[in-house]
Amino acid sequence: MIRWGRLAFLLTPLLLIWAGAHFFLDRGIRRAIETAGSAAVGARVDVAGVRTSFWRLSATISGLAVTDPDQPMTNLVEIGTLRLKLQLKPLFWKKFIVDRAEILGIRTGTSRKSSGALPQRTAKKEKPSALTETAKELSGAAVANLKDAYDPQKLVAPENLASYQKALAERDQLTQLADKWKSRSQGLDVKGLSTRGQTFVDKVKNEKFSGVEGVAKAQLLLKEGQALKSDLSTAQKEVKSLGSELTTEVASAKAALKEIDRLRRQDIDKAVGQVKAGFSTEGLTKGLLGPVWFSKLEKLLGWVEKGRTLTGGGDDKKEAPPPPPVREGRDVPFPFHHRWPAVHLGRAALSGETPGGLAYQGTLSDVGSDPALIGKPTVLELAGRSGERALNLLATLDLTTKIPSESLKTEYTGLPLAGMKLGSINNSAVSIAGGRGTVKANVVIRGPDLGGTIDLEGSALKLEQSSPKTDRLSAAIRSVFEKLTQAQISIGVSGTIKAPQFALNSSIDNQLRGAMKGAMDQEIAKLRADLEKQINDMVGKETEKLSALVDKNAGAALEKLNLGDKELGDVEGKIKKTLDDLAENGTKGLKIPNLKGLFRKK
Amino acid sequence: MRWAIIGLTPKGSLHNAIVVLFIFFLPVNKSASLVAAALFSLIAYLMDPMFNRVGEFLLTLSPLHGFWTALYNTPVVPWTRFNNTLVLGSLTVALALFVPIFVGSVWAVTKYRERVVAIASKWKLFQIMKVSKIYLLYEKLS
Repeated sequence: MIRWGRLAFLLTPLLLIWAGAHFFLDRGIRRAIETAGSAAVGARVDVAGVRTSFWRLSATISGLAVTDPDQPMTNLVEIGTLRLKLQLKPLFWKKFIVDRAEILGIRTGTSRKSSGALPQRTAKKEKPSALTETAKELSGAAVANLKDAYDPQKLVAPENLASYQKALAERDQLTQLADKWKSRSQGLDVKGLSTRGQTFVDKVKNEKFSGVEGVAKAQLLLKEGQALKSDLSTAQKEVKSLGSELTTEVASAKAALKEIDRLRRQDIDKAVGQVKAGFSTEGLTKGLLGPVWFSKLEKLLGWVEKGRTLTGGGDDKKEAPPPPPVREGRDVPFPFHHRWPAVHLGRAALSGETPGGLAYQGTLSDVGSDPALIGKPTVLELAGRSGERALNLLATLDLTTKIPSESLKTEYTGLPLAGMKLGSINNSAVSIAGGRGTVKANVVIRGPDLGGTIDLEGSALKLEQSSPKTDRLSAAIRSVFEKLTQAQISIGVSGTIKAPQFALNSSIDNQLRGAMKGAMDQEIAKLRADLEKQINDMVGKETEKLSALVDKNAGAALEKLNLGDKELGDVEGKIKKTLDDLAENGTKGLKIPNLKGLFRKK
Repeated sequence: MRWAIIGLTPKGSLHNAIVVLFIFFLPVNKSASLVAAALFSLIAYLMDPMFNRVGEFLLTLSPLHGFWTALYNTPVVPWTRFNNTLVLGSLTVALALFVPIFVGSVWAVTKYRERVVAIASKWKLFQIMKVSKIYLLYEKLS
């Protein structure tokens, strides 16, 4: 008798296993690819579907889309269909060996319908790499130079003008000097001395000298005259000294005014020089091209590093292995008689198209979990041709030895450049509206060392600026861009993966230099006139004020001193005459002191 | 006892699948097995560091190197993940504890039937449960 309950009980687990495999295996693989891929890339990896065949040992993955971690709305790569066929025998030893595979419908840079950013990635802000910083610095410096150089407000800002600063400093000093001249000239009592002299003269004239009394009076008057003479002499000396000092100080003040004028001309020259220096064509092209190409190279180097890490060829390998996770344990390897790594893709046929729509075919060979065991480097070969356009690419990733090495040789002719965004100049973004280019790259990485060249030749170029400004610089650059149809750009790559160095040379430098020379000379002449006017307006006013201050105060003081000198001279003459008369008439018959030579100048 | 192996060793191993099939095919108490698996999983969580050390010791023991190499080169065996320190350590400990746990369990079940079931069978609730359809189904399946 059949025990149906027991039979059902026996069949249930088998049915469950079959149902699980049938309904959930594909879904599980799909989820595993998405999870592992997202963790490796740092952005969402989507799979439209997975179909496995247990009997044929095959798997087909369709609609694989890998998001660009830096542009969540763009796919780094999209694969239409990925077909794999596993070898049966290695599976018994838990080895996944794929002899032949097909990777079809490869496209890069396609747009996504929804963001592929991972939530934790947005929260965790990665430190920008040295390369990104260099690119930003490069672009910023070029633009900042131009902005600074062409900012008339900064150029003629009072704090930047030596002449204006000198005028301000001299204004205080000259005002003080003028006040000093005024007070010193006013401090001279020429009038008092003159009145005293006139009083003395009148007194002697009105006096009668007779007898002994007359002689005594005359002697007193002579003494008084001598004292007056002494005072007059002192006053005259003071006037002369003051006049001399004043003349020196006025000359010094006028020299300061001349210095301000000299500094004013120097300020104009300096401002114009700054413009010339700031407008470096090399800086301009570096700012224009550097960030674009550097970011592309940074991505390439990032993928090289990731490739090394994923296949165990990176720097991490050199470090001591981390302790095994307690909940997972450690797999201890043992000698294995077959040369099978855990995972190995022997050869995959590739087909796809570039963002410009150029179809290509190629192969990817020897991708595996243990490159040293495989003994061959991973090689990617792509080739495609359509009319004038042709692509040839050969990339190798060799992790078979202790020192990992990678190489990339590629040539893409007829590369459509329309839509390529360049950097910005004077806060105006520049992009290529049309043209074709040829890119040749030959880059080799060995261990940490980096070397090679990347050359780009552009023809039939058409550059355009977004929201072009109306200032003279932008107009001048625009005029150059309008004429620019050919360009050769060469990037020398050196340094290490972590600290790459780039030397950028381009024919744009020369073209800009040549084409802009006339325009720049004209612009600089105009700028010089503008600057002169602005500086003259600012400094000239101050100079005029100071000049007027010096002239007015120095003139008045000198005039007063001259008048004083003349007046004192007149009084001196009168006293001399009076004393002569006194000696001749008032003291006749008496012995009087010899007055001859009393007023002789010493 | 087989559920003790499942409970103590990592769940994704091939030997566990074989043990599960054995349990389904052989006349054993399934509910007791489920309870044992849950209980031993908790114990295993606490004892993982010790299992790791045992596995590491065995896998790196020179006299056993040839044996492990032979196993590693035997088809299907690698799927058991025997060369994993945690898998081998936990399986070894589980097998070593097989006899003591068996003896202990027989003794414990006897005592349980004598003391707990004998008293509990007199309870109204127990008698109601025993005649319920769910219990009858459980009896039939196990």
